[in-house]
Amino acid sequence: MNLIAICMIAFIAVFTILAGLAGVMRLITTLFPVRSGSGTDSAVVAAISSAVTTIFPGARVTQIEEQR
Amino acid sequence: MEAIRELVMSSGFVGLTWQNLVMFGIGGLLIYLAITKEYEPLLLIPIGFGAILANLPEANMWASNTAEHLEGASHPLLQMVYNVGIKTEFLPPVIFMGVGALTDFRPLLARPITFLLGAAAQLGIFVAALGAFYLFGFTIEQAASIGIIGGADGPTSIFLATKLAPELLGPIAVAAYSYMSLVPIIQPPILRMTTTKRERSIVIPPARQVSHTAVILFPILTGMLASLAIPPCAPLVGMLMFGNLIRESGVTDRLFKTASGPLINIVTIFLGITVGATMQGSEFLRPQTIYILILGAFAFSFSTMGGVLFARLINLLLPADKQINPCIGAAGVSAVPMAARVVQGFVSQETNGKVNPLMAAMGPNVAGVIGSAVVAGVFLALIG
Repeated sequence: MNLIAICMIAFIAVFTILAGLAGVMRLITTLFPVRSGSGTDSAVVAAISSAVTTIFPGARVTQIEEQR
Repeated sequence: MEAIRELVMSSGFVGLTWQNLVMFGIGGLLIYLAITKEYEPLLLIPIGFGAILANLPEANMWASNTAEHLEGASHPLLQMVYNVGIKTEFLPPVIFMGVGALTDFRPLLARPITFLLGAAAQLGIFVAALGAFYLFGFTIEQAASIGIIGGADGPTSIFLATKLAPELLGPIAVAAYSYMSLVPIIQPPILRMTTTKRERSIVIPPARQVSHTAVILFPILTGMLASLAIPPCAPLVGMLMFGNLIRESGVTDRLFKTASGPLINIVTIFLGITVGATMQGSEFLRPQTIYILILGAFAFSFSTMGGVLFARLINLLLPADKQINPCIGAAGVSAVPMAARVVQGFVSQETNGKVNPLMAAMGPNVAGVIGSAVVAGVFLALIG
C-alpha cells in the first residue's frame, strides 16, 4: 500500500472515530443530564479547577457551591 | 610516569570528536531554552543533559536501538533504561496515564463538535509524512514517524518512532518537544493569516452542563470504542482513559495522586534523559536531522491550519447564533494546555479582552490528544 493511500485512510479513520465518539458523548450527555439545581456550568468547574491546581498543585475541587 | 600517561590516555578528553563538541552545544542550548525561556523544561532539561552524557567518550552513558548486549558484559546505565522502558514501549503509555489523570475532559464533553476540530488538526501529520517520503526520500516507516510530530504529542511521537523508526528516535523527540514549546511563536501568525477580524470576535455560546455520570462514562466508552476500532492505539488511548477514570471516579484518590504526581514525574525523568542519551553526535549530526526539523515545522503549521480551516467550514453549516470562534481549531494540535492558552492569548489580544475562548479551546485541545493517538494506531496497523 502506498503512503498516499495510508494517509487518506488514516485521516478518514481519525475523523470517523472522533465523529463517532462525539455522537456517543452527545448521547450520554442527553441520557444523563445534570440534575436540576445540582449543576454548575462545566466551563466554570474547569476554570475553577484549573485556577486551584495552578495555585495548589495536586489539590482537587470536590464541591463548588454558589452563595447568593 | 607511565601510570599518569595511561590515566590521561584513558580519559574522555582524548576521544573527544567535533561531533561530541557540537552535541554539547545542542544539549546546552536545550537546557538554556528550558531555563531561560521555560520551553517544556520538564523534558528539555533531561533531554539536553542526556545528550551531553551520551557524548562523553568512554563514559558509556549513551543508548541505542542497535546496541547488542554481550554475554557477561555490564549494561550501560541508560541503555538498560532504554531496553526496559522504551524498547518495550512501557514508558509512553505510562505518561499517557498521567496525562489522563491530569486532564479535565469536561470542555470536550460540553461541546462534542470540538472532537472534529481535534481530528482536522491532525492534517499536518499527513502533509509532513508525505513530504518526508516524496521529497526527502525517507522510508514509509520513517515518514510516518516523522509525520506524527504534527500531532504535537511527545509520548505519541516516541511511541511510534520506537516501533517504526527507532534509528530516528532522538531527532524526532527533539523536534516534537522543541516545536511544542514553540507553539506560542508558530501559531499566532497562522491564526492571523487564516481568520478574519470578524471571525476572531465570535463569542462562543455557553457550553452545556455535564453530569458526573457522563464524565465517568466518557473514559470507559472512549477507551473501549477507540481500542476496538484501532487496536494498536489501545496502549495510548486505553492508558489515557484509565488515568482519566481514576481522576473522575472520586474514590481512587491515592491512585489519582500517584498517577498525576510521582509516577508521571519519575517516568518523565527516565524518558527524557534516555531519549537524550540516544543523541550521539555520530548518529544525530546527519542531514536527516535537519530534514526532520524542517518537516516538523511544516507539520505543526499545517495542523494549525487544518483545525482553523475546518472550524470555518463548520461555521458555514451552523446558524449565526451557534457559530464557533474558528481560532479554537488551532488548539486541536494537542500540546495541552499550551495551544489552548495561545488561542486564548491571541483572541483576547485581538479583541481587547472582549472574547476569551480558553475553555472552548480546551475541547479541541484534549480531542487532539485522542486524535494523534488514533492516527499513530492507524499507522501501526497499516505499516507496522
